Amino acid sequence: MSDEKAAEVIASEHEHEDHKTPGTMVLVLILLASFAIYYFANWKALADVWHVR
Amino acid sequence: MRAPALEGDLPVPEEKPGFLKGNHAGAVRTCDTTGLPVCLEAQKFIQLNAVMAVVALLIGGVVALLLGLTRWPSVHLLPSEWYYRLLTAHGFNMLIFWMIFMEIGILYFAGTTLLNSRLGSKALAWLSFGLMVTGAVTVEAMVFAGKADVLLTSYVPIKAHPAFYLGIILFAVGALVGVINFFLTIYIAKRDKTYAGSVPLVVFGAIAAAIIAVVTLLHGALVMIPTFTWSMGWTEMPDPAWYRLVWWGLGHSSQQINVAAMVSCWYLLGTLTVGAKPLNQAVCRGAFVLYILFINLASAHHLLVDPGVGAGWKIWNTSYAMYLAVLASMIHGFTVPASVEHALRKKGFNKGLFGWLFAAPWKNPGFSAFFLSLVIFGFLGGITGVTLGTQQINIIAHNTLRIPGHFHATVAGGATLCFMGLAYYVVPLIFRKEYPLKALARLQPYLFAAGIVTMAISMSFAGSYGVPRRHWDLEFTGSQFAVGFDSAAHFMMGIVGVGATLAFTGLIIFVLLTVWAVFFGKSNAGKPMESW
Amino acid sequence: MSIHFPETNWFKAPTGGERVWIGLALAWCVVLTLAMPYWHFKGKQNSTGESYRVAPADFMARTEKFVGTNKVGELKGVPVVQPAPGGDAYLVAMMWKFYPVLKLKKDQTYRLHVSSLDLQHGFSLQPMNMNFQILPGYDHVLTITPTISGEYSLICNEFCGFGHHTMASKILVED
Ligand code: HEM
Ligand SMILES: [Cu+2]
Ligand SMILES: [Cu+2]
Repeated sequence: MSDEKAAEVIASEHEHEDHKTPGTMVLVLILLASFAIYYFANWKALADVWHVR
Repeated sequence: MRAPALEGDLPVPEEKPGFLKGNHAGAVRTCDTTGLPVCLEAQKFIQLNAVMAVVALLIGGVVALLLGLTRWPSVHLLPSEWYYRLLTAHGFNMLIFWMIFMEIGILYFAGTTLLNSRLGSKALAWLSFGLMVTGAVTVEAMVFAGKADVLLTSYVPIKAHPAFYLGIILFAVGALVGVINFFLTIYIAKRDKTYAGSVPLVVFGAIAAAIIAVVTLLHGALVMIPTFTWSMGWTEMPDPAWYRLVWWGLGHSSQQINVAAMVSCWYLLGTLTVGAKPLNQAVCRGAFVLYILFINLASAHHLLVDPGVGAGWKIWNTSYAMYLAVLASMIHGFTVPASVEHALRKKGFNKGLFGWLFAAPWKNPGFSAFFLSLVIFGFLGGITGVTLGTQQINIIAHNTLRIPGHFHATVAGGATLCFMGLAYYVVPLIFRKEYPLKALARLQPYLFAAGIVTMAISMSFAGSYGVPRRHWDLEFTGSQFAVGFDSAAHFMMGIVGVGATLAFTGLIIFVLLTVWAVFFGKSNAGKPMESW
Repeated sequence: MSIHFPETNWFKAPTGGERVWIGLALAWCVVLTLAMPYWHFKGKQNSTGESYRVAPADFMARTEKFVGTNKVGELKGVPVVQPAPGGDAYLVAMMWKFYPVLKLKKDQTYRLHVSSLDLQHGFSLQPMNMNFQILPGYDHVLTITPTISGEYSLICNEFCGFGHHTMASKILVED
């Protein structure tokens, strides 16, 4: 195989300019919010059962 | 390339990062689609492992449908013995055989093609494959013959036929040999200078998975060998609490292999489908390192309501070990979609917050499987996993259906779906065969995802009404004392059956199309793969 | 790209959104970590794992003694036993039943000892949905306070052989 061809394809990375990903930020914030709601709802459910140590 | 900011302070490398001269001695081809070098030896073993993986997925899937239909109260299909027997078979075929055969294939791919190297050792690859197949066949034979009705975990004192434990040991040793072969490949690539610079991110993730695999498989040996000798009558029974602790060192850490392998595939598929690149290599790699460092005692979260271990131990091991691994997943949960967003925005899909998401190639099953896997793993699998694994909350979840509800979102909706997406590239690129019925292939990830999501959510609800997992009869027929579950619980179990049927439909379409493509598909050798 | 070789000096600190998210995620992990010790001291529901080694035969003997002194009736042939408030209660799991049936008083605290004579079993109280593991060889002590009266089902939720799905009992709680 020609190592030259591969070398061309595998040109190394360029440093990125500025990257803005606002959509992803909103997605992960929704994730964090759902996480918190589910998590604390479960503590609430736990608080309603018999006491045990 | 822009000059690095700190050039003066850092050693200047001799070569520019990238491929140098390969070490394949002729046994290599250039991929007609990506231009990457494919080691022919490795290609054969990738194919062999992938075929075994799909066979296991098929067995596990057919059995899964029967289980789903059994837990659907108005169908209640299987007799009780067969429910437990097939539950054992399902656990092994899916979680062990399908996943691990697939992962060994992924390791061989990452070590050779991405590093421009030949496979470390052909003999080791045969040894690994032979042991894994022998082990798997032995386990299947014992399970289907009814000599190992002990479920995946085989918690002592319940006892199976010795050949069952031996099969597990053979499989694990085979997998370990495969992992060693991967490390050998990396060593050879480095020694022969087939590349310059730091390894690509996907290889880095594969290395993380492989390191965790070694730890995992050592736990496996530690627990399975004394269990085997006990089943032979040579030694005393292992202590049940000790068994649980060490078994989960195997059982949980292997989930971390799955996660690391899945996340690597997310990055891989992001690149293959939309040309995504990681925004910050250090962040992505650092997150993989967290997986390696902080996973081991996360096996603790399986013992949260056990005797034998105290509260301090439970809390410490759940928090330090688990939450730094959770942090790692949350980081990948950002960097993966961010790399996709960045790539698509650069292609001009810049409208509003989500213009890029709508413009994504949703008709490409490689992409849809990858992105659905990401969403299901994060929103369903991750959130439920951390919550159920909280020390005290586990009291209202342990051994209820909430647990399978959680892990089907991680291993089925997450890892399995991601690997299905991978197959939509592996078959055209490694087998050099085209998928038939492309329209059906496009639909497949959605069907499977919808089925798994439906099943996982309804299992979780049923479990919060107390419905146990691994249980044949919600009605407790024949029991001394009547037990009644809420009617909502019965309803939810019906939805479990519906979701299982749907997921099975997605799964079987995948298997049939893939088998068809591999054996009868149109060859694309010599030209680029047809674009999805 | 992720399958390609990174530039030479790839190590750089996170910036922008990535940095913000890592900070948020880390903060959330700290919350998760602190919640458990907090509940351990302030919460009423904890699995402390208090347990002692015990031979199955010894545990059975203790249970028989407990049944002998505290028996108050019978339900479907199984003794119903009322432990003294604040005292010890014994419950043994075996393939495929629990022994005996317990009768407790609301808002009283009991030291409930559970163990198994054979395989691993589950202690699953329904519909309260509280779940604990039962292991042979371990006397698992649950210091338990029923806060709501009623008739509860106790089911096994750890697979224990082909009779597993018939393994059930009752726990009765009076005002
Ligand atoms: C068509 C897709 C699938 C369906 C319909 C399905 C269905 C089920 C059902 C009904 C159960 C039994 C739950 C119980 O009664 O306790 C189960 C258990 C399980 N499933 Fe799946 N499943 C699917 C895919 C998968 C995949 C892809 C994996 C792993 C990669 C997986 C791993 C497991 C495991 C580990 C168990 C627990 C076995 C045990 O309790 O020992 N499943 N599944
Ligand atoms: Cu039981
Ligand atoms: Cu049971």
